[in-house]
Amino acid sequence: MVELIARRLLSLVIVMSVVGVIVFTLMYVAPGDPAVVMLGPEASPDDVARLRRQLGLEQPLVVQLGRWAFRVVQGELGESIFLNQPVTKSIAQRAEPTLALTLLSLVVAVGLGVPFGIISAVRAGTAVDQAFATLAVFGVSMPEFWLGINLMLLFGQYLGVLPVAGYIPLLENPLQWLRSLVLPALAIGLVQSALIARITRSAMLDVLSQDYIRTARAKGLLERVVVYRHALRNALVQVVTVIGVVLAVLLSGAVVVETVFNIPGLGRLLVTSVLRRDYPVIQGVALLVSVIYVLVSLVIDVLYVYLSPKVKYL
Amino acid sequence: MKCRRHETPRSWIRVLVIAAVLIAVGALTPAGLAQAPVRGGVLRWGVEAEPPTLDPHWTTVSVTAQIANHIFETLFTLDKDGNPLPHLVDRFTVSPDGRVYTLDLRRDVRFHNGRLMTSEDVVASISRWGRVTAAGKTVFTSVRSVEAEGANRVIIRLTERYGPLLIALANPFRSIPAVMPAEIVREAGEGQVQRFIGSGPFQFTERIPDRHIRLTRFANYAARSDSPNGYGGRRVAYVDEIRIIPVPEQPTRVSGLETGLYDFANDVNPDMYPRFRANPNFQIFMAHVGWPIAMFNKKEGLFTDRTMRQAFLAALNMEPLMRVAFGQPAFYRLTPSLMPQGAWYSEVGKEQYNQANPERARTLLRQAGYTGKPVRWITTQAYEWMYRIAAGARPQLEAVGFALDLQVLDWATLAQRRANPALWDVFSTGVVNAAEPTDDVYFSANWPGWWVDERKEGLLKQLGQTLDYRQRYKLWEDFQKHWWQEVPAINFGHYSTMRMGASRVRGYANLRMPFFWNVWLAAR
Amino acid sequence: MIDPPPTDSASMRPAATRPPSRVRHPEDRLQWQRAWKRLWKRRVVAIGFLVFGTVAAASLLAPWVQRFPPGAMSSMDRVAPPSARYWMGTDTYGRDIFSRILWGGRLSYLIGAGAAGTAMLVGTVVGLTAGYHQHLDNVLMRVMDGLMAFPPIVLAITMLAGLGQGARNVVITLAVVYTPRVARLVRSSVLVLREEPFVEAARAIGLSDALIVLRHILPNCISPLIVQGTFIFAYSILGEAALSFLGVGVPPFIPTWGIILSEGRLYTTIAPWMTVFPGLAIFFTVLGMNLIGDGLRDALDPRLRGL
Repeated sequence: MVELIARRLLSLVIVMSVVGVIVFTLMYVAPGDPAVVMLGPEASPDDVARLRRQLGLEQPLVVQLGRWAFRVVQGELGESIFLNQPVTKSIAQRAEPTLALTLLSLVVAVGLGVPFGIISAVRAGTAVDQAFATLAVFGVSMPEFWLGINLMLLFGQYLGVLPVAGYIPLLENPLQWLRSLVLPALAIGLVQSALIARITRSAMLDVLSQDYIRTARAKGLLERVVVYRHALRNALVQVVTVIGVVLAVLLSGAVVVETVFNIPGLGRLLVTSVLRRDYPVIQGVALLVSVIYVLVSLVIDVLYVYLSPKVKYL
Repeated sequence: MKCRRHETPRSWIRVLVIAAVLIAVGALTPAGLAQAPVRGGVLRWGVEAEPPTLDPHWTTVSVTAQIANHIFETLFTLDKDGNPLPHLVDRFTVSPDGRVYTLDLRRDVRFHNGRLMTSEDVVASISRWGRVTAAGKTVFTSVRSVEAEGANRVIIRLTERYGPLLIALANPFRSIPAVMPAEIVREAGEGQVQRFIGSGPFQFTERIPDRHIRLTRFANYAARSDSPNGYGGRRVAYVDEIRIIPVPEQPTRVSGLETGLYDFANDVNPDMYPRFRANPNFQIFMAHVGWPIAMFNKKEGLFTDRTMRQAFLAALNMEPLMRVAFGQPAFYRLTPSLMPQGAWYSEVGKEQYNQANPERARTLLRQAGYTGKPVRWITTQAYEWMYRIAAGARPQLEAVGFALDLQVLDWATLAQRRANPALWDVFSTGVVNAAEPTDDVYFSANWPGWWVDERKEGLLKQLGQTLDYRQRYKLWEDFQKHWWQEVPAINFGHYSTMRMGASRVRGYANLRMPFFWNVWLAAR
Repeated sequence: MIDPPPTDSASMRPAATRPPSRVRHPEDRLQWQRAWKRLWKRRVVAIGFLVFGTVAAASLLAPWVQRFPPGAMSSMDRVAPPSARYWMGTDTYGRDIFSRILWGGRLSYLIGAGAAGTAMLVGTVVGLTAGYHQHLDNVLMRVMDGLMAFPPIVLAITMLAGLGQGARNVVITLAVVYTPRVARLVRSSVLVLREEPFVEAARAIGLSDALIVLRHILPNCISPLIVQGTFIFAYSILGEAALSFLGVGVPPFIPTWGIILSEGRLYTTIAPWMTVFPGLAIFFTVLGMNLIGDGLRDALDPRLRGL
């Protein structure tokens, strides 16, 4: 186990270097200029040129990359060009909404997906199963932002029961916080719940056809006990691995949905930074999100090994 | 005359709109009731973008100026007719030759750090403004010195007579000539100001990028005693706090306003107008902002040839373009004027503007010997109407034989590319109203488009040196006539922006730059 | 959205450990016939083909089905609700949304097919190489891991920021996003297949590596590839829509469904038809592809039936 983790962490370093170089090079060749964004539509070309020099944008790629890498190793991500603050601070300020949104979407996705999956598996082949299957395939076929817009129209605009946009920090007002996140979390979560439901169903069906379940039934145990005590626990091993993947998907779902709902999270930071050509922020967010992504899959793999004695290595 | 035919219904609608707004506002504030301003409350203001900085000198971005106007003040401001009005200045005199301005400052003005404003602060701030901003640099070509005389007097000496000086020192629109403490200016050096300390009715309290900027009432604000007039006169901070919330998604600004998340929203899609017109819960405001233009590259390529530019102009029918770009007829106006309604408005050149004459365009193209080389038009959706005008113009231009290579870029790329004459033939931009004809950067030979023209320079110079309004107006009409003959750029018409406020926002004077002093929130 | 469904990664995981009995010799045509029969027996697949086919046919026949030329502007009929004249209403330029959706479908399909096709081709080549040549395996798969370390949308946005907007760049970007997924799938199949007796036999009679890969290994990877391809196609269409919606995808004068949606986003409250209809077009296409993909998976790979 320790060796597995060590090996994976080492490859994490390699992967991160690849990520860093890719992103940095992309930013270097990117068209557009942060200086013109900062100085506004009527700035003179001289002022723009002066600001570019001040920002160090005129230096060769290798110099810029080297300087950046040197700082990253020290745990620093540089200064945002546009926001005039350290990138780490910009990211920290936007981590809460994205984290909250992702976790809440996960709650929606798992909270709906797992029960629906179980019911479908237990009632496999019945009309209920068919109905859920249809709903699930509808769910995965919908663009999240489109669902988001429609939810916003329905609940925010026509029914007026939930706020249409914005984010209230948790500590400021927990109730409003929750209300501000319900619609975006539904938009992302519903789509993912369809996937989780499908996985849960097939995992359950797999387990329910196993010998020990037949034995349990033969022993005359209550069906409920068989399903929930015996089958579910084993099926969940498979579901857990999928949740890891889903978590990463949720994170990127947040990128688009944050734009629809005007939530000041990491996703919006990334998109607006692209429009502002705020290179240090783009690099910082891409690097950070990739690290999280890789770490999550590492944790999931470890969990998988831990939960299922059959898998010895990965 | 296309222009005329549409003129009548439009002005009629305009009157209706204004009447509707007046009635709406009037109905909500019946005389004697709710007239008395109340203090308190947080005014939440949805703006279109996160500002790159709050340093008013440092950028020409409009949001920065809109916010900075609450924090910082200027020596002069504009009254309701657009004339300069002393603000931080108490009294001033101009020498008979027009070359020495003696400004006596008010003695009771306090900065947010508690210190009284002195002449040293003014000298430091105005000098920095003259060094850093494009507008300031233009003015400072005529400035010999800015000096303090004692603690409360500043003397500006000019190298030559310069008519627009006071207007330039009053400009609230962009790169505002704000006064800040001298030590803050020194601290900034060549970079941005790091602490936002001014003398305005609101002080900077907190900024969380992309979430909000909070301005709170400055308790020791020294208001002028004269009654409010335009941007000037007495300023009172009734609300405790202005919370500025950047909401780049336009529909979100509107729906947020509808559901009570914001009290005021900038730059609303005019197509929302019919929907909210009759709703007593909202107030709709229109502000004439400027005009969309397509700037020709006069340094390299196809449009160095004036005949080509004239052909381009002749092909265009402005009505559908403006309609597509700004939606509601109330929000645009077909006019060749290069200045807004008011003292400098003129319709000289209306024969050239809006010809919609494909035949003439084809003839001109033949004369110019156009071979069908694609016209590289760079435009952007950062301002939706810029792209919409280009998209609308495309079929009109193609119909007369232009080949078009329309490139839609984001703002950062467009603004970068336009600086390089090898990369484009036409670019989309918008020009915001200037307070003064000589104040427009896009006439400059250095600005992208590179309009090098002796007659133009001569007229502008004369305009700067002439003080008499009639003479200046005459010169200005000559300039506009010259413009429409040379066609350095296409001017599509004037447009207004739509702003919306919740009905509880009272006392809001809708000028081109929105501001919230003298504004209070009625009980819900 | 732009992300492929986790089901794919999940089905990739057991692929390496599948029982060898699953591996069939390419000559076994009977298997394919059976699969084909199974496929058509399933009602959902028929529905899938129907849904997808209707939208696809309407797009292909756009020049004949259209009510107006897609670029025709009528500035007096701006933002008009659906009516007998404009079946799906008009947009801000007074263009007929119905006709634009028909033409947009062509572009969206082209981008989706381009991205999916490129990803499948490159992914297959990389996967085959990595799986068959073990000394290249490490290098190739580390690069693939590096690409997989980005959440897809983050990779796509960053790449488009670097390459600039444009239909071609969207195709390249989406292809880069999906290539590693195909490569992993193919590689894991190859790792199982290369130890199979029929491959060893081919090697023993002296066939060249290239021939073995092409004649004996590739055909056995086809069925999971087809399944994966359907999903990637569907997700490419969703991906293009998301990127264009964010304003980093194709430029607005290329009216893909994503662009039509994105143009309507300023009008969601006053003119919902501008977003509802292109959204539905995307929805039905992706729905059709998903149903077909599910059916294919069931038919080609009975073990995964019901997944």
